[in-house]
Amino acid sequence: MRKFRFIFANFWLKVISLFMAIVTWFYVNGEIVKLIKP
Amino acid sequence: MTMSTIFYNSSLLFTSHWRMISEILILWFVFYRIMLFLKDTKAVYLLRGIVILIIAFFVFQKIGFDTLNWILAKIFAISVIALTIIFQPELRQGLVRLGQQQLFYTGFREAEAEALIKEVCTAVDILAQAKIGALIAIQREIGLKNYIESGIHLDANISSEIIRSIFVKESPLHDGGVIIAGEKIVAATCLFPLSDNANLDRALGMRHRAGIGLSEETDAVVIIVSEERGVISLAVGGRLTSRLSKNDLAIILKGLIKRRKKK
Repeated sequence: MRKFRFIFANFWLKVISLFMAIVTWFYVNGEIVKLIKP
Repeated sequence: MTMSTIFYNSSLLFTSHWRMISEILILWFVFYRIMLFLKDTKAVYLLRGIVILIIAFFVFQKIGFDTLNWILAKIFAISVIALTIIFQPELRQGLVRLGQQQLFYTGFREAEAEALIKEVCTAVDILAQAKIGALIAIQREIGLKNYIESGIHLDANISSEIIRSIFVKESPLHDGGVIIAGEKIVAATCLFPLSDNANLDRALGMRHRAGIGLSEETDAVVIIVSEERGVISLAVGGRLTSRLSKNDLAIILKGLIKRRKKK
């Protein structure tokens, strides 16, 4: 179990940053699609 | 639909999914590192404020509050410059950390490191027992020229006697920090930047704050001896390890400054 302890270190920081990454990716892609197909 | 079309479509789907996942993972890593970096700094409160403004911006956009949306859009346009000014210390530290990914740092030579550790640990131990405050920075990859220039140039060989005589209260060189670079004590009475980490123990004095401050801004290893309690501490990368014995210090220093062996 010790090997996997790094997963739970700063757990909420990882969750929030993953959420932000997904939201950013979809938002930016939406904007790119709008530019390509206005 | 021919087999080739199916294959083409599936490979396209796989490629786009692969790209999407890779991009999200990279974004995740970048966001995580930024948040980790800002975690214990004052900037995190500023960041919270900015996140609230961004959320408000999207909510206003969805509801259709055009006036508020226009005002926020204008604020964001100006804020690019404002943010670089507000986050200037964090940006500087972040770029320094990015640049100090130790690709070229080879450390001290075996004999050089052994001698340095022995002399420094002996001096620090004697100073701690006598409850004489001390602040010693050991330069690693990042040059400490700016800080060396703020002190008195010495260029002396490293010896526990010299270190001890610098920090004795009667010595005119006892204020400020000593900098060791290579095989020399290059300067004394150097001024180090004070850490503004809000989470630091309030009991820590200026000497500790200066040691932590220098370790935040550079990759230097900073040894601090407290005058009140005679405790030996070590600051590396903005983190302070306290209550070290002479042997603990020697072991940690070996790991930090010795040249890494090629595998």
